[in-house]
Amino acid sequence: MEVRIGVPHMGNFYIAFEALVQELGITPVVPPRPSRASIEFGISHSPEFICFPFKATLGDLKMALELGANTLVWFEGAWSCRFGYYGRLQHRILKDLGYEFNSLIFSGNPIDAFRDARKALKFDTMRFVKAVRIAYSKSKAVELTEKLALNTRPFELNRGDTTRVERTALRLIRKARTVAEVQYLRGRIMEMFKSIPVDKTRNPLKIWLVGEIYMVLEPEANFHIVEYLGEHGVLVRPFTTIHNWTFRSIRAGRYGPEGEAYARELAKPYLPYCLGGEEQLSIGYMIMAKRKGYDGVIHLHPFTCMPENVAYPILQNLSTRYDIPLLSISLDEHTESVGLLTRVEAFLDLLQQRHTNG
Amino acid sequence: MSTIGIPRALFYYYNGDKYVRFWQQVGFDVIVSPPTNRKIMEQGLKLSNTEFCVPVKVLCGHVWYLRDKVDYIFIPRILGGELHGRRRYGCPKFMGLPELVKNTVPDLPPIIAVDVELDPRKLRRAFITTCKAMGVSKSRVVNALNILLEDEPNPTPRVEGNLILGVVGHPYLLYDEFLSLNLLGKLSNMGVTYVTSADIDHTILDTYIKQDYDVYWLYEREMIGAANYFATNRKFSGIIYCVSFGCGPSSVVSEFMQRIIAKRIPLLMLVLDEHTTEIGLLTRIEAFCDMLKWK
Repeated sequence: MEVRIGVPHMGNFYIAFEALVQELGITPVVPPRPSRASIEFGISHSPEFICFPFKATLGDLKMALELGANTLVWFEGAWSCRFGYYGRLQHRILKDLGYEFNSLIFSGNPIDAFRDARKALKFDTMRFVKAVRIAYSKSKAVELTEKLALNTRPFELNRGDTTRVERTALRLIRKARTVAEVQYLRGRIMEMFKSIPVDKTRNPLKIWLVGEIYMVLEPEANFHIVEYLGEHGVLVRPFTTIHNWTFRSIRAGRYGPEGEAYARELAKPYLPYCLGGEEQLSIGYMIMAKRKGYDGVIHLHPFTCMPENVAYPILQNLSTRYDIPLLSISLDEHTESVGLLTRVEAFLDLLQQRHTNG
Repeated sequence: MSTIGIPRALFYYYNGDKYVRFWQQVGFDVIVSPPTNRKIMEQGLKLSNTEFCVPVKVLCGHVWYLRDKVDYIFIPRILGGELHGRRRYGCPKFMGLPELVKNTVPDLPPIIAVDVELDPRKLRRAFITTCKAMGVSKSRVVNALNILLEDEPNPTPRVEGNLILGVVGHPYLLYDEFLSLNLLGKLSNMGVTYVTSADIDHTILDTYIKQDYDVYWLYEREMIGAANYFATNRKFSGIIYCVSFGCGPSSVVSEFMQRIIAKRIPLLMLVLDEHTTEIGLLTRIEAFCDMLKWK
């Protein structure tokens, strides 16, 4: 039987995933981006007060199954966060609804997970290494594109240019077949971004975006806040990238002056233990934002997110102590884009006043 | 002599009396905050973030009550540990409880945050280090530690009656009369016999926890084991499952309950929060019991 793996969305994760799975000789099934309809489905079949990412990804999985996926994969274990049980619950819910598929749940330990996956999906190690190489290079190229877009958007002369170029670049990366092709694309993408007309004399506001990873990285969940901020002339810096998240088991993004290890170190005096989510990173990057002279911090988290809820009062106190403005937004399916963007706009006005006065 | 305050919330309902005896033996005066009342609850609601679950909000109220009456406030950090071949955790809020409280309630006396792990050696070390920092000699702590480490068996209650219900829920919710709107008292008044999930001994529960729902949260794991125990034991005619709104682990466990356990035994799920009313709760329990009687 042909294996067709369905995958939920989180930002541009699907590009690396698709490359990896294709190289292994398995057909990837990428559902359309999360939409009102898919999220609505997720809500109506999820436990009442589970976090939003669960509901949204459940909708994605259902879409993938309808497009012909016959295998769903999940990785277990995430400290004490609910994320570790997403797979088991979602697969059970979908099976109870009458969908038929093969449910593979791997351990959170990368080595065990690899061993089980090799057995279940029948691929050999050499092929896997090759697949990881192409997935890694693609995901690195995606990261480059995202970073260039973040750095160009506040300076662009014609609103929307950067977003257009970003989309083209992502499409090209997705189409590329070999590592060499991706390497060549990197140069071309840089050229493409350089050709966007910009006004470098602007002095934009700088905002660090922290919070729960899905909410920060999935544009459909945060109402394209990154693009919105950029187009309103703000240099926005999400605390991590999808590349770091995908390859965290080989320590991508862990070290360096802005790495996660350092952020966790900064957060230790305020929260000594990792609780399973990004709470320590939120705290650490908030302190880093102050040190690097950023104008403000936006904290996004799903409603009832356990780790971020512990971080929230700490962030509030840090905001007063370090004198750095904080906007904390809890998002769920009831959030409306207008409500969210009004709050963000008001926050930007405040920052702008601080920026010009002092 | 300095005094230590222990809030009567959350962890107090697991082994609070042991903590009280421990600190007394070490040589402190211990003040335990009174059972939750309206004033404590309202203060907690006012201080804390709206998204916390109600028990955590109530804890903040208790800490606020204690803050000017004591020299220290004891808030353990429940970290979990290795159990049955897997690492187990407390809920993230339990793991970050001292920081959460410190940043929510203003003007607090020093907080004694001890890392509580399942491993007795680590537990011993954590308490000794903390007490040393407070200027208590090691020998006194070592003697007192036996109180914390002794494991008294929990005899399985024998129940008789026409209608026997299993009540599953966190003890800090069930046994807090104000928070649970005296749910257990209401059941007794209605002539229902009940056993709560906290009444059953750990060793018995362990045998009822199946691979399918062996979750990594310490307390929720026992709750779902208890539910399976009630479902297996023919004496019980139904389960009342109490959750506080916004409880993270329970949102996962409740789904396992409804999809696995509820196929074998009638289940009433009650979601409690600060807006729950007494009449609404009573109506639902009565309706559930009536249904069970007709069955």
